[in-house]
Amino acid sequence: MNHKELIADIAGKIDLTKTEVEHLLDIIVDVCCEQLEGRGSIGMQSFGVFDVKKREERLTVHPTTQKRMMIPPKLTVNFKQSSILKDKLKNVPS
Amino acid sequence: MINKDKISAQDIVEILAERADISKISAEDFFKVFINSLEEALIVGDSVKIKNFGTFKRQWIAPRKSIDVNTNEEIIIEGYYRINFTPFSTLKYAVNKPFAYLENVILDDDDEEPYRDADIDMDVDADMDEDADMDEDVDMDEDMDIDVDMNIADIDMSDIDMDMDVDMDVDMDMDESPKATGDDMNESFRHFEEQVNEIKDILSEIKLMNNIQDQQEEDSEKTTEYQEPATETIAEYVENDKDDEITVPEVPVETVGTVKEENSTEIEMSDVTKVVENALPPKKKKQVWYILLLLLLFSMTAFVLSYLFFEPVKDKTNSLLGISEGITKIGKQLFDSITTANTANTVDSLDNSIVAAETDSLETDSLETETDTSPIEDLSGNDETIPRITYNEFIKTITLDIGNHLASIARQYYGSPYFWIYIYEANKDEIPDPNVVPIGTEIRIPKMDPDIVNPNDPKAIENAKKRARLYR
Repeated sequence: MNHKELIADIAGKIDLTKTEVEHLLDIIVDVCCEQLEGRGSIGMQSFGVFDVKKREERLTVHPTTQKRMMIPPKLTVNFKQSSILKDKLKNVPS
Repeated sequence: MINKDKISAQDIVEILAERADISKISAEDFFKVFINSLEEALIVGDSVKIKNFGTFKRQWIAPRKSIDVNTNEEIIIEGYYRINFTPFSTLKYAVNKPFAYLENVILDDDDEEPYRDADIDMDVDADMDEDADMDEDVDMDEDMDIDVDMNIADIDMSDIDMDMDVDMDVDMDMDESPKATGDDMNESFRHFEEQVNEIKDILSEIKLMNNIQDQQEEDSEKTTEYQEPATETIAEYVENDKDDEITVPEVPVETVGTVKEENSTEIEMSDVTKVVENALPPKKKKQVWYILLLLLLFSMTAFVLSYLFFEPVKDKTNSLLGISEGITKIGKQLFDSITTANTANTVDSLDNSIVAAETDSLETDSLETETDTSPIEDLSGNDETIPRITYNEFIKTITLDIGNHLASIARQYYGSPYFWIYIYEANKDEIPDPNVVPIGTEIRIPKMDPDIVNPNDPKAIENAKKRARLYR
């Protein structure tokens, strides 16, 4: 399901047009992005937590060239599902 | 706008309502619906892509075996679905902005990171150079030691007769030495025979010195360390000497003025005296003297070079020269006499060296007398620096209370407790012991020159301390 399908899905469930839904969704995404850029975290109850983690620098060996590489530290967005969502997923037949 | 570390769904709803200009209720409704459809899609197994944010995907985590940490029993962790979130590239980049300038760095086998390479290379090179220097130094020292040892071993201690045996080993040494060209040697031998008496005198003097050197050997052990770095330059200098022998005499001449009681020469002198003590059939003796003179030249050149190029040595020597002006006078006289005698001849240069050796021994003697007298002068100088002060004018007369003492009064009136001594001197009649002033004693506070009781002047405080020491 891509962005458009999601908007259509939401628009079908609520009394709003697709453009309105898209606008609101954009705002939510903006808010989330701003928060993550500031290294903050977002806790959505019943869904999960987004937060930013720092991956430390490390040394690796390039598999083909066999050259040692220094991988610089990196900030990444992590998502951890809540236990509620995990339980919901458990009931799904695989 | 967003300044919390952690925001919840509620905060998002509030911000959404604010920005979209809708009621909170409708915003919350919308958010719930959004999360609902997200979850529904994920539960079904669909991946959800949100533009500019990221992609959610359901992933099956297979069951796996594990061991209970507490009971050591095998347990099976059941498989489950996990929601994976892959951030959009724009979000990824925006989050990583603080470290965005960093790039993967390829490391070569030998080196560290490239931006450190320059420094490390420099360090390594410097280390290498130092190592090389050290090796050379050690070699030099070892050669010297071996030479001296051979001499000592070859010379029979008990045999002081004029035996004409020439030791082959010593010959070998002579050949190696810069000035041992055949004709020069013969000439200088004759010269030596003429100077046997002189040498005997020097010998006796050196024997006297030996007593002193027993004490100095400890010192010389310390100084060997700082002598080492100069050895290389000496070697170079000696090589130059081979080419141009005429320049050689100038060096010891210069040294006579400057060497004095410097430890570096004493080390060599101690070696010299050892050899002389163990003397010796005269032929050998002559050879030995040659070597001694060479050693002397060595030490003198070492000192001159270290004096010229090694700052601490210069400072030390200058300070020593400052103590013993008399010695410098002797040195100057000798300098003059030697320069006149110096006729740019290798034999003459040897003569000069002998004179230099003589003067060295003289100088060490005169230094001793000098150092004996100097501390007395210092002591006598101490008393003169403290002038007498008469206390005529007084600011105030106070009565000593409980908890007050001279220092606290001094702090009150002069600004520093160290000036209590002036109050004490002004009231010497009433106060028998400055440390125990009875309560109720009437104390007159003298009016002092503000320069003398200036609490900001360390000299004034120092004077007060000196004065206080007189009453101890």
